[in-house]
Amino acid sequence: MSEPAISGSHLELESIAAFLDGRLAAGEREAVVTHLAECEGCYEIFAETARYLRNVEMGRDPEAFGPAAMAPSVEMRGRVVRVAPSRWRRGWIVGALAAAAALAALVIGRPLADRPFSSAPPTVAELTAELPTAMVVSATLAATWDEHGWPVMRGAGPLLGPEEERAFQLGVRVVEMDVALAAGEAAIASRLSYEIERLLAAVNLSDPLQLLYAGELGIRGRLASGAVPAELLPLNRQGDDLLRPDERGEAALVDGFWYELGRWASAAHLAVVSGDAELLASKQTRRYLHGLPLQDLPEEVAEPLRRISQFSVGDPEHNLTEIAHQLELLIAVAGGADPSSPTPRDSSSTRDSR
Amino acid sequence: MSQPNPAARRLLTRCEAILARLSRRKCVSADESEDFRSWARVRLIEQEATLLAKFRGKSSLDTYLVTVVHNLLLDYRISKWGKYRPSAAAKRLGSVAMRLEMLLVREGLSFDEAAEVLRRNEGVSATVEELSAIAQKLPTRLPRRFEGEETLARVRGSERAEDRALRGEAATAASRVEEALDAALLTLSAEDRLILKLHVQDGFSVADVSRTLHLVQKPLYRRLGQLTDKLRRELEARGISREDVDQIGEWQDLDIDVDYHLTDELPPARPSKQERGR
Repeated sequence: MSEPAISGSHLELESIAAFLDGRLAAGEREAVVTHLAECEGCYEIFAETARYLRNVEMGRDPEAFGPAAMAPSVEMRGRVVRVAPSRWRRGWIVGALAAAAALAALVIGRPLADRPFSSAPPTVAELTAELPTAMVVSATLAATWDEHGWPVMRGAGPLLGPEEERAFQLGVRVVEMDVALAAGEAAIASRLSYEIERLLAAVNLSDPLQLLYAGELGIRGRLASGAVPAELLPLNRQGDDLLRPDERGEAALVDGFWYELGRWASAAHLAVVSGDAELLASKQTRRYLHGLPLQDLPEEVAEPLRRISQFSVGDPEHNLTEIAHQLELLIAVAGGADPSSPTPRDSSSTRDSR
Repeated sequence: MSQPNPAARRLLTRCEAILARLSRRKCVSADESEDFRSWARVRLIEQEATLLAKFRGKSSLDTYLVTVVHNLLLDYRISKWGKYRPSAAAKRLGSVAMRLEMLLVREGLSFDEAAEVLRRNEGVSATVEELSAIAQKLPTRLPRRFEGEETLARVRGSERAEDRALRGEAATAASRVEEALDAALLTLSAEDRLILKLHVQDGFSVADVSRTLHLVQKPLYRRLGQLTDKLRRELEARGISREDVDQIGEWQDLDIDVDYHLTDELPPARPSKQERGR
């Protein structure tokens, strides 16, 4: 029987957390159970944490102090009962509408520059949602999706923490999945679904997200027939749900910044390598790059972003090779590759002009 | 080059969100909530590097941080109030009930005194009537009186002595039951003890026990029934009656609670074939 991590005579907090997450191997679980049954101190932390998690899960989260906070009101209980099932159904209706809108855009295929400029703050989701219109990127993706040079082993690379790195990788993969699905590349999408499931295994998914992303009912299961189901489109926009607080009040992904940077970098790279400079030339991209807190980022990440900004200001169409190279560096190092020897995507196929 | 550590910054931001939610749930007043959050922030900043270094990705970061913050809350309570194990009923009723019970049982205050401490010193907004309603729901761990100031002023020395004698008898009986209960519990497996502790002592519903221990819910009802039967037999073999068990607070609801949850949570019985055929 393997031993759980014990500090002094008590369990490590991470062992308690892993037990609560159900992530311990049988032997280690048994040792933790035995310890918790004996040790009042560890049991107290375990029970209180579990109570908190269950209350958050069930929406039993009183806002006030005092006796009113002691039990969920009838109104609150009603809300929990009402929200849980209908939210999932509503999610599918919204998803279906979004899918229909995306497919319409795909058919109409207007270039990005012709679309009305939104006065709302630009988001990376808006940028990357345009990608499926450029069908050519799917060919790039088919050739290069698994060449990021990220280490296969689990754990964080040298620059970011595990959560930031995971969020960044997930952002990259979700955009790639979107493109693969839009292009009908079921084989690539299927392989990407395993990657996405692996990355999401480390985060808390609400039931609707669990059903969307993981397992037999998720992307992988629905790709099993070899066709791309329309309701998966556009995954990239649905991917925003990973950052939106769910009924427990918590988002699955804590790190929205790195997730969005991953999505943007992947979208920009696929566009650039496919010879499309419009994404880089757009006002949204310039605003996004301008707003990045480069001074707070590791230098290995900030430097390629600075150079991409410089090349994008003038005429990005004449600098596509260099921009692609910088994007490859960015994706490699932020995703966990060693900055001294990143193995970026091959940009030799970049077309400098269309 | 000295750069701010984004991982540490995000960790503290995440902890702040958990602290805000937890302090709303667990603190007795807005004042205490603010005090706890300030106290915890200092410790989190002090321990930031250790927290990050100790996290190896065995659990999700969220669950790890929630556990870390709960550990801080328990440390905070011990630093402020000392060690105290509240009864299951008090835990279920919430932080005000736990604090009220502590004042009544451990500090030996009268109800009026405890209510005064809570309302005046600790910023609890509950009325005396609400606190009184809570007090009525607390188990009788030791004899307590809920009398007004005027009554207290008329209490004579001989009555205090009687009270002391009653307290002594009750404490001896409670100690005997607790010893028997500890011995009876040791005949169960560790997982069975954990199930019982969560369900009976901490008031988790069967569904919550199932989610917490990652056990299938349906067989858990039968298992709980078997466990309480076994425990009852073990206690009876040691000469302990149900009335004796009632003397100790945290297991006072042993029989009642299990019966309640079983009837409350079981799905409605399906009609038999004969009934369906009618």
